[in-house]
Amino acid sequence: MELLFSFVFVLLISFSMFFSGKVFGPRKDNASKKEPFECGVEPLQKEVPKNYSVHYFKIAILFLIFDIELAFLIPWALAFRKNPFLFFVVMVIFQAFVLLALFYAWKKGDLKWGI
Amino acid sequence: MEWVIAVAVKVIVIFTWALLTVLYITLLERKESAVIQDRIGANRASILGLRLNGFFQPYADALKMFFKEDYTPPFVDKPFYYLAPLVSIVFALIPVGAVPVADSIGLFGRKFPLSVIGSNVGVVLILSLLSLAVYGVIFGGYGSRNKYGVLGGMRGTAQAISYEVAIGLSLVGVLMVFPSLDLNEIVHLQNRYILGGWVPLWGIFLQPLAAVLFLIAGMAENKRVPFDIPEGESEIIGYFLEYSGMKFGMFFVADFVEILLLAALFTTFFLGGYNLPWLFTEGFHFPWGGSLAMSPIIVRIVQFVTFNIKLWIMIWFLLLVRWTYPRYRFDQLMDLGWKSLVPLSIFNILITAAVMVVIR
Repeated sequence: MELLFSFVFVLLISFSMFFSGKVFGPRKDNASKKEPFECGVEPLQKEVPKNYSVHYFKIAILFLIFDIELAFLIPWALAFRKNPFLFFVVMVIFQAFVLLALFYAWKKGDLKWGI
Repeated sequence: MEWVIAVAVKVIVIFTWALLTVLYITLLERKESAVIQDRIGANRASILGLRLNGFFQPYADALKMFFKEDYTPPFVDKPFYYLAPLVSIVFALIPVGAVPVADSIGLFGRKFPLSVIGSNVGVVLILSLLSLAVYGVIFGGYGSRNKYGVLGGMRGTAQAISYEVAIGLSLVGVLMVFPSLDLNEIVHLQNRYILGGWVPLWGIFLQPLAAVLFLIAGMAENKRVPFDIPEGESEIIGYFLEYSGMKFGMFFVADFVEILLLAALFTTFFLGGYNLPWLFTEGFHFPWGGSLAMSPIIVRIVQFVTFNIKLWIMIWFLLLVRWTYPRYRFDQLMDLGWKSLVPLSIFNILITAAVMVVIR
């Protein structure tokens, strides 16, 4: 219920901000406003390129690996006091595999941003 | 029914407090930059000739923003373009509600937490909402259909998701020391004392490395100056390049709400939250033997004031960092994230685990 209320309240605030500019603001149009903003220079190419660097995709994959690892780690951290030694050994083995993956990506050059 | 009204009042009061704090963060930022650059800073806004050294400036700024033209360029991708500012402000504000500003009180025979979302999975809630805030960046960049906007959105997304890993992994160390997902419970566990009752058991003393990692990663997640490659005011402006009027204002407010959120989370996890040293629910118990009884309401008020003082110290520190350091390069930024912060936070988890095994 609290989550619902706060969503309602925050959405109210953000929508009022969203529409306030349309309600209160002036409306003046001119031709240069219709162009993409590039510091007043004529745009060199009209189309935005559709393809992007594959590096970003690799970073996203790494993020997925580590976020799933985080989902394993949080319950592990909470239950750690039940049997510290066993949990510690398990975590060393698990982290060794995960760090292996990170170092593999590192050595393959996935973390290197070329110039 | 009374319960529903109480919850509604709580939601309105706490979010109003958060938004007022955000307004004054903008003023503090202008004043602090002015001091650093040897200026006086904003002090012109007045009510009835009363200036109070810029006290009314944030309201004037907000009003001015309301009366600016809100122009939608014809080439944008409309759904994404409209969704982006909404997403960024909503998912920046909601996690602020999960932070407890004072200890919970009893109301109508039930426990009434003094945070908007007194959830028992607060940490997971905050982490998940923070991940959703990335969509504001990528929608804004992609929806603008501007080359620099797309570039800023890409960089912003890569940066945000890289540093989110470090934030989450550094919090795991804290969760091991204070085994609870409830933020109020974590703050409670920090109200214990060691060394004969002189040193409070705050997160920063138990997890110093995690505190540093959390602070750095949080600042990077915030996308402000040492890490402001996605925005880069002098280069590519960033993912909100095509926004004007109050839609840009929403990105701006979301930015400052994230400062508030980072300061509040750091206070909660590492600086003992609302705890004043030696203040318990029934009053002070000093280590030198004295004690001072106080009524529960007074204790809550003292806790709220303490929380605000710690919060402003953290905000002051964050703004100081923003006005002191130059910008990183993008490859240095990603190196810092993946090659130092992530291995260090995993190292921190293993060290914490080893120490806990030895102590046990």
